[in-house]
Amino acid sequence: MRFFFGRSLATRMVLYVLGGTVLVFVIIMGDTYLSSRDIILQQARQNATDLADAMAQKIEKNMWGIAKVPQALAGFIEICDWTDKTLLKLIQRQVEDHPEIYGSAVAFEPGAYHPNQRSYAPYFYRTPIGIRFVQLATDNYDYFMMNWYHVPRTLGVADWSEPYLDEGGGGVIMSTYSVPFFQTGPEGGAPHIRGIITADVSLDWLSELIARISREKTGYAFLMSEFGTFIAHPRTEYIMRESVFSLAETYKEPELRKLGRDMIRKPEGFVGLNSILTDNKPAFLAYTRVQSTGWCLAVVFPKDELLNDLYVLNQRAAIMAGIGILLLFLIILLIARSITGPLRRIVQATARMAGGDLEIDLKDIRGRDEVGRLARSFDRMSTELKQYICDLTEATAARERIEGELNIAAQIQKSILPCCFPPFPDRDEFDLYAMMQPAREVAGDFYDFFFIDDDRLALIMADVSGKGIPASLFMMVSRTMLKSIATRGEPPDVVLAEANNLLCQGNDTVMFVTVFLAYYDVGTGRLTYANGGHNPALLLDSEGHVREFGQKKGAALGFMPDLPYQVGEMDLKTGETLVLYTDGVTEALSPEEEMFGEERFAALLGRNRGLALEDQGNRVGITLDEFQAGNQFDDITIMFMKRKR
Amino acid sequence: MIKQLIRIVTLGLVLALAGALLHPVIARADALRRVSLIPQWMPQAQFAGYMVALKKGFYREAGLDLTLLPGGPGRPSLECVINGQASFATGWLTTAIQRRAAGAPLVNLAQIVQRSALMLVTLRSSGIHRPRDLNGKRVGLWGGDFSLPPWVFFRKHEIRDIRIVPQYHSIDLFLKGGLDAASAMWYNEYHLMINSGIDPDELNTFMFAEDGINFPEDGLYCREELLQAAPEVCGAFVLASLRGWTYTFEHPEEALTIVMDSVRDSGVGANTAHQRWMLARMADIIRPRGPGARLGRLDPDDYNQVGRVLMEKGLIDSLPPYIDFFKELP
Repeated sequence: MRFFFGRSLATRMVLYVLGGTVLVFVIIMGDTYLSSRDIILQQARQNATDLADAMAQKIEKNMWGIAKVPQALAGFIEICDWTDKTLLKLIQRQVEDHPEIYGSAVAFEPGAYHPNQRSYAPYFYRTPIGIRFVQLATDNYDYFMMNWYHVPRTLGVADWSEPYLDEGGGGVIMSTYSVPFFQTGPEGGAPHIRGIITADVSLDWLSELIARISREKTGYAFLMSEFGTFIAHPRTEYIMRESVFSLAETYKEPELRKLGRDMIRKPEGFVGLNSILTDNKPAFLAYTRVQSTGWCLAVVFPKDELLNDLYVLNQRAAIMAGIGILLLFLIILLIARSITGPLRRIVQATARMAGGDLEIDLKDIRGRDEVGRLARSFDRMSTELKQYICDLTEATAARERIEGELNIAAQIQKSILPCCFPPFPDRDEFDLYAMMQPAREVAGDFYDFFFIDDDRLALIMADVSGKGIPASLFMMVSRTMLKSIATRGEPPDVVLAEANNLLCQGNDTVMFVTVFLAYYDVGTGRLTYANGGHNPALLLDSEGHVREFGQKKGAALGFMPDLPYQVGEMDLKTGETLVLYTDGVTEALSPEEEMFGEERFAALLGRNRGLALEDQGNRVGITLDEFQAGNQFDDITIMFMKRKR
Repeated sequence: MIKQLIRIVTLGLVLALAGALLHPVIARADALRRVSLIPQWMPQAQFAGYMVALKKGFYREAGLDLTLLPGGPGRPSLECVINGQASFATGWLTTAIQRRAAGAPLVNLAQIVQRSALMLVTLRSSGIHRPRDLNGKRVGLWGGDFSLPPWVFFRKHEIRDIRIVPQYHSIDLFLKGGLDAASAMWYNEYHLMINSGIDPDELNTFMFAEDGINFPEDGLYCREELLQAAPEVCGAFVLASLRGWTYTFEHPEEALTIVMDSVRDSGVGANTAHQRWMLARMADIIRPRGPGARLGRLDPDDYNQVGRVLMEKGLIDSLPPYIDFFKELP
């Protein structure tokens, strides 16, 4: 399900391609359907009209043929002399010779047949056992009141009667064609009606005629009288009982009443409708007039029958389209899968890779398309990544080992430097504080102080060239040498010279160390010092003035042996502070590559002169950190020693 | 031998009598009075009340076993009552008065149709809009008593030059242009015209009753002897008939179904639309004052008006007294 409703590539491809295809199908089929429907409807209209015309003509021909018969007899009776016998014979022959005539009568006006006889109407009619005769003029049957007599007699013209149930003679539903015949008045007066000659048509005969024609085609036909009564209709219960208007009233279809009025008034017409008249189905109705009778013949073509072939055709097209779309769907699915399958595997691989699993094998994704290339480069990437991580792991392990060792080294180094302040709590002549901030784990700087006898305190500030492990190793050696030589009580210049000679031996890497070594006589305040390539020391008085002294008079230790060093002297007054430092202080760089410099250092010392030594040291550390913005490049070492008395 | 036979027969008769008395069904069947009714025309909604009363068993409940005889042209209903072929009949007031005046022992038990439905109809296109436009026109008139209201109408409107054309049982002559004006019953021929495709607004109508010429039509009649001998039977018949009409007006669609069954059974062509119209119009002319009005009373003024006209026409010598003619039942 996720495949279909997620926003996967395959779903989108299926949706877009299938959607487009279905749209095209629908448009084409819709257009085809509409245009073929138009053609079929056009043809249906033509067919319906033609059929209605043809049927109306057929009925017309029949009716016309029937009408001719009594007309001929009327002509004969008017012109010729005839006897009772001939008249009866003529009527009988009329029925015998014309199977479509159900019965025929010659009915006379009162006294017109015989002055003493009120009525006379011989009638011959058809029965299954042959032609039979009956006299219509009886006490129970007053033919003067009958429509077939009364209407044409009053109108004075031949007329087809409205359909009726004949009770007098046949007892069947019929329509009668009645022809008046005339008698010239006495002495050439205006002719007056002498009687009526009739020809009856059984409506069953008409129904059969209509049914026969209807059977040959789709749809059906019906026949209405000139006042809308059904004369022939496939629904026999309508015949004689209902009219198009009574249906319209019963089923409350005012439109049908309008149509009915058109049908009995207009010579012909064609309409589409959905009415009780068409069994409540959409249909076309073509109607036309049967001229002689005034009847209306209508042909109904149900739309679904007409369009049935089209429906079948369209259904087939729809099924084919459906199968095609299904096939297309499968093909798209295959294509999409061939793309998205590898892609999905790559996505999964990526996810796994992100989770740290690099054991990915995408080698089976072949193909020279973009996906194949992607898979291959991905595969390569994973291999390389694996190698890299492997290397990295090793390197990290090595570094961690070194880091561990470095930490130990740093600890050793730190533990070597005196770090407990005040270092000599029983001495109240001076105050001492020293600190070192290594740039890396281990430092090349170092400081040291120790009493070489009861009065003299040795102070060492040194800076080994380079940084890190080599520098720290060299520093350890230097410190040990300096301390052991100084402990013997030699003057500072001798100590430096001797240490220099020792350091030069086997110093292949040509490392060196700058050293400021001073002996401070705690009793007199005299300072004896030697400078081996180190920066000068500073003297900070109680007013905050800073004085530099002890500029270097000798080279750094380790370059070459037998170098001379000089001793300098200096008296420290009470309240004055000796400051020893390495160039990590003054050469500290700001991010703008500006050096901290001696002036700033001197000013800083001056500002903080009132503080305890430890706080002064911390201030220097903090200030330098801020100045360098935390990016310390060189070890920072500083030592304060203040004469208290 | 013979005594034995007599004894057996007597015993049999006694047992049979006892059985008949004890058996309620037989007892009731015996108690039903067999009567018959003949309407003055073929089955249609004009007689719906009686058809419904019969179908719904109102006559049976009233103790009558009624047979509805087929009426129609050639079977004058009042004659059937007079000569004893039927117990009861429907018939026109004009006809009944004439027969009574001529000595026939007819009595009116209920005047069902209070308002005349007779009218003249013209096509608007014929240019006949007012009664006097009928002068010189071909007017279809039915014969007999149907011609009386038109006669009064023409006299009232001083129409003297009429070409009267006999009109029979159809409107075809009118539809085919053989008449300028046709007689019509509002409930029948008028609607047949509508159902022949003529719209009401294409017709002008002259309803006689609206012109003050109200000849009440269908009433219920029987022989005077029957009323005297069995007033309870006549009363039961009238009440059941009126009940039938009341039920018809209250349940027109059910009544229509009953009417259509009879119409179909009689084999005469008629459609639902037409019978529905007729039923609705019967309500209008039987209860012209609307629902709730008392059914079946003969208005003495109507009676006298009809009587006057009959005398003027010389159809009767004297009008029978109202109280002798109309026997309103309690």
